[in-house]
Amino acid sequence: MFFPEVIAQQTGIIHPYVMTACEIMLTTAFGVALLRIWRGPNTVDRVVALDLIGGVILALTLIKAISEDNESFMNIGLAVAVVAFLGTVAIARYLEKMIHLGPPQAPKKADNTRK
Amino acid sequence: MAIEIIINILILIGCAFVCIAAIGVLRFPDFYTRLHAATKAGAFGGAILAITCGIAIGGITTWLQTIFIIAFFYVTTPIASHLLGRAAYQRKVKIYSSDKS
Repeated sequence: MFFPEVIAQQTGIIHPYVMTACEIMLTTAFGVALLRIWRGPNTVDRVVALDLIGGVILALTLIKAISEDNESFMNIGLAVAVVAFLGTVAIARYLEKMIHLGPPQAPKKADNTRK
Repeated sequence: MAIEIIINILILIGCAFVCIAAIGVLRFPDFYTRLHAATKAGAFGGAILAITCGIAIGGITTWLQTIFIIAFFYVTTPIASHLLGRAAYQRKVKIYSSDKS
């Protein structure tokens, strides 16, 4: 699985050692972001790590586009970046609104009797 | 032959920036500094990789995609980080101070 001949069939213009180094680096970046999601003492820490995971996925799709010599792979990274941005904005606005309203409460039981 | 060496070096630099951003998110002591590391360094690594993709594949469609990725990432990342920092400040997330008193 890790022999240079096997990797060279899939890399195209990239050198096999460079491909291996890039995959190791991006996998450690992904694992480190997951560690921050586990440990982060706040909700906002976890949101930052999720935005970083979106950036790592963008990098992975761009490397795939270079190795396959096809520019259609860049669209996937752009879509993931858009979704990450929208998610971050939604969670930030929800966290800001929740300060004034307080935590969500159970709805009161509706009174169905005629008045 | 020289183009391939330049492309490989640029790919390594782009991936190194993303990895350094992740290490920064792990090791910084405060939320606000982690926000700096994740948005600035990660966006820059993505932009370097997009330019390398434009050089390697070539053609007008690829460069249009590159311009879209860079413009979108650089316009929306400051907006998201500003809103997140504002939400954290109003929730009274602690600011790190280096004196040990």
